[in-house]
Amino acid sequence: MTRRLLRTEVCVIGSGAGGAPVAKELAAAGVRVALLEEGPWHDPATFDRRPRDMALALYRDGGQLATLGDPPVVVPLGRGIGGTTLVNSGTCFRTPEAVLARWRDELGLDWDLEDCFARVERTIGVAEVPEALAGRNALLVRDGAARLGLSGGFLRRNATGCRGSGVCAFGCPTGAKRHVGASYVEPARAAGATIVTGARVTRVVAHGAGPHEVRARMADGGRLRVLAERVVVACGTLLTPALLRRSGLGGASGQLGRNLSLHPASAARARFDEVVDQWRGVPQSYYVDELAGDGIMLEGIAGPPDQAAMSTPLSGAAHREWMLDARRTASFGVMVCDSARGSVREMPTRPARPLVRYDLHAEDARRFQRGFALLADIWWAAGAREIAVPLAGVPVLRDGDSSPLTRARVRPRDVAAMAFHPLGTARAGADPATSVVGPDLALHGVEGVYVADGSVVPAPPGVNPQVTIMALATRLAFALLGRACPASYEPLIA
Amino acid sequence: MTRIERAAAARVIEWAVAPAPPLPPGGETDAVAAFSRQIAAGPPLNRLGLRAALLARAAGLPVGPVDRALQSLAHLCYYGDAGVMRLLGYAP
Repeated sequence: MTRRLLRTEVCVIGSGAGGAPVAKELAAAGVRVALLEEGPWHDPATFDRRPRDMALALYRDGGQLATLGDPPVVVPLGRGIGGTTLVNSGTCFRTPEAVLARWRDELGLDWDLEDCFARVERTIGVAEVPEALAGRNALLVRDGAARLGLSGGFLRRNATGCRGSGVCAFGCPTGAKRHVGASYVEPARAAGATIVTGARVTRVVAHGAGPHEVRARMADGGRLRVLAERVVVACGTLLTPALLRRSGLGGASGQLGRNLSLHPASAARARFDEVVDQWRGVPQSYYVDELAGDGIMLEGIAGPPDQAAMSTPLSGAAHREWMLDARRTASFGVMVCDSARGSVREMPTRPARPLVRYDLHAEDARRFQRGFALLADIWWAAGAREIAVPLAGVPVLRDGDSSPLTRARVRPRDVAAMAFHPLGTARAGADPATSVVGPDLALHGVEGVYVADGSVVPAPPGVNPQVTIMALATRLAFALLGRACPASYEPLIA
Repeated sequence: MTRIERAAAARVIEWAVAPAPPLPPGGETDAVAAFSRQIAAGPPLNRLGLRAALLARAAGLPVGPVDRALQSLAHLCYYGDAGVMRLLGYAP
């Protein structure tokens, strides 16, 4: 068995939205960095635009990780360099000001992220989706919303040179999406960082003031030990708590693994007389934020027939009829800023896997109902013939009549939901009694060990969180360098 | 999957998809092979649950909330066949 020892200044565990920015910013400043990633590098040349098969290659557990609860919620996680940014829709929102203010007032998180946001956005190439790439699926919603006078707009995304391939969630085949593997890990490597793939970290052994030890099992059966002055844990919201708990770290407050929020999301479908070809254009290119103040966002979701088939809430002959009309069928999503909180623990399997407990709150079920009712109004205004919503007991809506939906008594178990934004399981806060890491993302009471991923985000922001996570990671990197994040006009690499 | 499980998967796919012309029967697609790969890729608990539900559903027994997961998987596997995707207008 191969045993390997690495000595470095900073060891970053995980190459997703949190770990990658830390590794790049430190490496670019001349710090010796080792970045450990469990999955592989994925070559865009192997991305074949077929969701069914790409999900097996790019997602952890084939994209089938689900919560235990009412209802079960599938939580797809990316696996490989770039983490879930490899398979997300690329949507970029800054953390809303009101959310930052609430975190400051309630949790003592005085995070001024302005310069970090700007730096992240320049690094990953954030720009608004042009109308020409938005796809007919989105334009129908834009037109319907405009007729009703609703607030909405084209989304901002990190996909420079996008050609509208329509499969962002299954690996961008043109390499246009600037996931953090491309925008941060590659530059980190160019700046001298050691990138190790196939490394499943089993334990972090914290030694007082350091150096700390990180132990990993390699995909080839070998062992890796990394000795580092500082360790940044960035395995993601569902995996970081298990590693910390196994390492005997971060558990003092009793909050580790708790406070899980998900931004549960679901998609409805509508049939039109015109050809939509929802797989042409950017799948998530438009949003309607009319109900954002109530925790309800409408965001595009679209894809090839197999993806659409999975989310069409029908079966048998009725499902077949809709699928034969796939070219005239539209899809759109509703995402909820959830009230419910779940937890994550580790199952005693080999390798260990997360056990995620989460019950959708009744209030969140009502938010879905309101969101779908608004979406139905928009689609009717855009000329839809029929609408199928993923709420059990609600029949297919016809003739512009949403009353079967609005009159329904929707229980949590009636909602068919997925979730793409797990957050909060090692939440940040000023008070060590109620949080796992401090405002500086250092583990309370442990010197030199930090967390930088969605787990530190203390509550759901109500918008896609990748920029929030990247900005916090950038802030951490510059704090470790002992200086503030450069102002937006300064060069990205010194 | 075992031979029995593959036969059960074929029946579940026919039930969930109900293919009729112009759609090909499930047996003329790679849906069962895809189903097998999907189950193998899932977490151990999912594998156990889905395999049990597969056999129960194929035997006409109620399977409760797992029904939704089985249907989704069947839809994904059948409509992910390259020929079916082309027939529906998707040619990557």
